[in-house]
Amino acid sequence: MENEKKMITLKSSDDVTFEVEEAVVLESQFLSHLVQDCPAPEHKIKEVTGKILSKVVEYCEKHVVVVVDGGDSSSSSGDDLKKWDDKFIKEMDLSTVYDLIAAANYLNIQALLDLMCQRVADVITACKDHKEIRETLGIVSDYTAEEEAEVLKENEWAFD
Amino acid sequence: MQFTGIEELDIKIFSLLGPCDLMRSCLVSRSWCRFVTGHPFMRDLVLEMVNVANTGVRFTNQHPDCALLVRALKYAPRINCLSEAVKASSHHHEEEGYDNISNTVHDFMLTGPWMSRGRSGSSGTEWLMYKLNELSLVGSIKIYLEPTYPSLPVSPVYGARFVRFIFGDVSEEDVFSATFTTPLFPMTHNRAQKFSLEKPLICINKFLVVEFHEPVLSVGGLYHMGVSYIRVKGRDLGSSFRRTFVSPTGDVVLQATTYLDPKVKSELDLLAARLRVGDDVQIPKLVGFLNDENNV
Repeated sequence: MENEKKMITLKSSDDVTFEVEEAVVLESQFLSHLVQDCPAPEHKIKEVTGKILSKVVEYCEKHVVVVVDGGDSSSSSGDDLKKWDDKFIKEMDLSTVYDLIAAANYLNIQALLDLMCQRVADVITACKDHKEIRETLGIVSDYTAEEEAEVLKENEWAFD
Repeated sequence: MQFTGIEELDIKIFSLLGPCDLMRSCLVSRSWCRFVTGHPFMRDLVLEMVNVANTGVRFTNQHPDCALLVRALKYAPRINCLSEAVKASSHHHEEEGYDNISNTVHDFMLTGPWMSRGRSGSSGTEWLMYKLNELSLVGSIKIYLEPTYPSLPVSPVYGARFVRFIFGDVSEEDVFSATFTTPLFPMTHNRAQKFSLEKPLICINKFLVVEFHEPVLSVGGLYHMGVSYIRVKGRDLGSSFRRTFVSPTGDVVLQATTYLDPKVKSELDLLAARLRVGDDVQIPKLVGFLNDENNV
């Protein structure tokens, strides 16, 4: 392994810069192609804000470190990573989760995308009924009372 | 949809939800309902939960019908899916009816258990063929080698080393063709044994062949196979669905006959059955009346 790690600078849409190791960038399919195709020291990512990019970098750095250090030697590093992922998503509000989903999709980081989509699904699953889903996700219903009663009748069994 | 603004990603999120979550999601708003019912989320869930012995199953109203099926998997009335006995690989007795395969669809013994003619070696197979109920959901199959009633000890019990279950069709030329075959199950119990399918199996107008491999007992140099009773445990999908037509690709198209919750429907049917039993109260009177008439 080379002693001197290659560093790459990522710049967000609002010009926040992040200096990261090349290995971190390689977590993203999109960025690894970008880095290979144009070997500039700095890459601007117009579609992602600094706030979201910092989350992406945080996630990728953690996952690179664990993979490099732990290798496939023990399952405890896998458990630690899972714990870290849980903490990572629980600290985030839903609008950040949505933005991170879009970013993970754009940058093509499959594991992050899966994690975030599962987070939204878990939030919906944790709601006990449609009213709680509306509250939690901030959705305004466009059903009239009659319509809602009608649909409720068809979907009744979902609540027992 | 309002999550990410990218339909592909919203689809990914919704495909992680279970049936109850999907039903609740329909109530959130019109756009949620359109999104959930406009994609095959519920169908994909159903197809994960079951196997299908037919080429394929489709629904006239995909979302509500699949939701109904999810519920029916759990609450449709329990039935013995065997409709009638069709034929056997061979018979031991020449006398009409003695070891007829139709004896195996009853849990009481009118005549003898079915028994194969017997073969000189222990290799080879013997089989029994049955017609299943039109809209069956098969969960498990229980094979009784000994009679259940009257419970006479049968000695010896003619078992086999393995059994497998083949579901399929019988053509007009009387040729059976398999559409779903289970792996071989080892037969380890002498009296009775239950064999559970990996997932519930949807069988629409299907036949079942119970195929026994390697009979274990020889008497007088011949290896026989004997069965007293076979029960195919499952649920009656006919309580909520009817078969409409078969698409050119061979998919059977099902249509819901009622969207009444199968759980509620089963309870109502049970209640109706109790009320019918209530009619029996009238029977002694009726018998009395007939007796009176005889006296006249």
